[in-house]
Amino acid sequence: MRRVPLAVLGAGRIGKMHVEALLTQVPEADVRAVCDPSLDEEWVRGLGIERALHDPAEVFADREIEAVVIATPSPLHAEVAIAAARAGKHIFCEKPLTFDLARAEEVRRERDAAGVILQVGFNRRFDPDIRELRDRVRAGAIGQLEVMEIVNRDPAFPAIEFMRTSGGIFFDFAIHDFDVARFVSGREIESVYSRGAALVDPRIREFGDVDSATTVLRLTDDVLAVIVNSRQSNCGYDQRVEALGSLGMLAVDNRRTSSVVASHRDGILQGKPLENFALRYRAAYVEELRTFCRTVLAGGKAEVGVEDVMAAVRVAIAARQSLIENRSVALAELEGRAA
Amino acid sequence: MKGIGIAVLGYGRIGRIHADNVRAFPGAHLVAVSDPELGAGLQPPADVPWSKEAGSIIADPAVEAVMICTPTPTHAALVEAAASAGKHVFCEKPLDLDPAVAARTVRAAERAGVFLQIGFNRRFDPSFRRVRDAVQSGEIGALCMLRVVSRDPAPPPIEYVRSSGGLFLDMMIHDFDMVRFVSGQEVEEVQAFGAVHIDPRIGEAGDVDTAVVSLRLASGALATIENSRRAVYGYDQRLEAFGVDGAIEAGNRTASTTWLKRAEGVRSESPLHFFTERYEVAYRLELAAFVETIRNGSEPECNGRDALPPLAIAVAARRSLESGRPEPVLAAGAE
Repeated sequence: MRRVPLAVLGAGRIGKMHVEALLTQVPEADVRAVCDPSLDEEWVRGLGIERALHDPAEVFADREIEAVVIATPSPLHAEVAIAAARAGKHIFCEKPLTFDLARAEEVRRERDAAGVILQVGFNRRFDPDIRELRDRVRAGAIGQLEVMEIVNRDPAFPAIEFMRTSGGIFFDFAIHDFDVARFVSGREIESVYSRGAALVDPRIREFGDVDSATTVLRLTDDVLAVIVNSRQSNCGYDQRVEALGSLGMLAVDNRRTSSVVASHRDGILQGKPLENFALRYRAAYVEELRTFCRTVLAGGKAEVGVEDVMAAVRVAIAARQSLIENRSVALAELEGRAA
Repeated sequence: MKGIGIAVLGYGRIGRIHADNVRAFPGAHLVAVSDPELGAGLQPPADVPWSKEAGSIIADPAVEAVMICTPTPTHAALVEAAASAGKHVFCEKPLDLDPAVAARTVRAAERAGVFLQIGFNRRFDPSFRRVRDAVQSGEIGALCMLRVVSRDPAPPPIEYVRSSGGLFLDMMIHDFDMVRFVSGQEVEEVQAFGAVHIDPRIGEAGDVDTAVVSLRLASGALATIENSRRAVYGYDQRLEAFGVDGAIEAGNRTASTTWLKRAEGVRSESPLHFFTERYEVAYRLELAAFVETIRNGSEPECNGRDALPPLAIAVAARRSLESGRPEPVLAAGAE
């Protein structure tokens, strides 16, 4: 079987996770290089990877490398993606790629000019549970889709320094839910109404962010969606999706740390939801990379592309505007801001 | 043994539930029932006197309290009539579709010095009460968010929809009350969204059958309520409170706790079909609370004053649906 010769750019937390997944669980990948300005070369050699590089230009110059996995710090995503496209490399890029629609448009043009495949890391689309929910919704198992409820709560409050530059709860966090709503429903989001409050850590008010948010989406065909987000959930990484239709309901519940149930005098205790995204979406992180490699090998269009980032970013822009102006914002209002 | 003498006004579905509970309740006894349809569309009771009109029953000295289970447009006049006759009143929700009329009715009961309890039955559901206790005792820390899902198994007849006052006043009013009850806070602002997915005639009647409302509470906490007139798998009644230190959820009740395990999968029972089954215990407990109130002379837990904010929230939600904007919840009388 032919494998995709590729390099991983960025070896931080996510980058390392991708490298390890590619080596052990993605038979379609051939990891030739890892590149990071402050790379732990011993770690790379220990994994049996040929090249430990510090400058992405070296990756781009390597004619044998056909694809790159971009896991650099978020502000560099678009720049690195454009350079990779110009070098003719297929691209898997972690989310967010960019929060800037004009920049996303630029990436799209570069992708099309180079004729490369560009897949974006909306990992939840590859979670087996969410995918099954979507497949069943699309197959008509619940008839006509009417309402969705999406719960997304992070276990622990991120560092305040991260929060300051994260782009805010809608861009950094709820953007996954906007994408899930589009993915599951197969519909476009038409309007957004968001409320938010800083109820956990008032310091984030300084830079206009919130730690608790509720969003109501109206999608095509009058489908409504409720999204609730919290930056800190003592009861674990809370990830639930529910879809109601004319013939029934489908729901994805949390996956727990274990299935052991302990019953004692003071009550019945069971495992919390899996603690963080790396554990909860472990299978999704593998599946998205396998899908990327298969697309590269077979040719064709990425399953989740720049267009999906642009759609989700538009919703985040609308959500942010809705929060500030306390009104429902129609996506059509943002027309013309795309390029 | 005889206990408090109670008459039930209105002997339809909900009236019969309350009458049966009074019959079975050791601290009370059923004196009489009234309903214009008795002897016509409705089978009269065999065990107690009955009348087609409420006036003579309200006047009966053996009647210490009445439970008003008639159609909503008759509530206010019956409450005022009973109150002026010195009878304690239990009235089904909503007190009236017009917040100003409801406020006037509450004042009339207060002036008459009788107790007025409102039939927000869900407050007496043990699960929702447990959620309230967890929130208000601090078990989950400061409240950040409430999420309410409330779906009926099937839409009511279209004639009912036309006279119901609409989804917000007829159905979601329970959920507005739940938000106040669980949080112990007032709702300040609502933004409503609606759709017609189930029956186009509901849309033609100017109503919606599917709705989502986003609410802001006095502390800044957030809430969402989702209603659907049809969940084919049953009466779906769930509530989740999320706080700084944890969360608590109330789920559905089922007729049995069994799981049937076969080759095609594992099947649990559907939620209890509708409110008469789901809130059976709540109906009994609200009657017990009403009798306790009369016996001890203590103000009801859910009194006339509690009838007004959910109405005001429902009116604001309806206004928001029409304006497309968030709307403040105005105190009754300010409308």
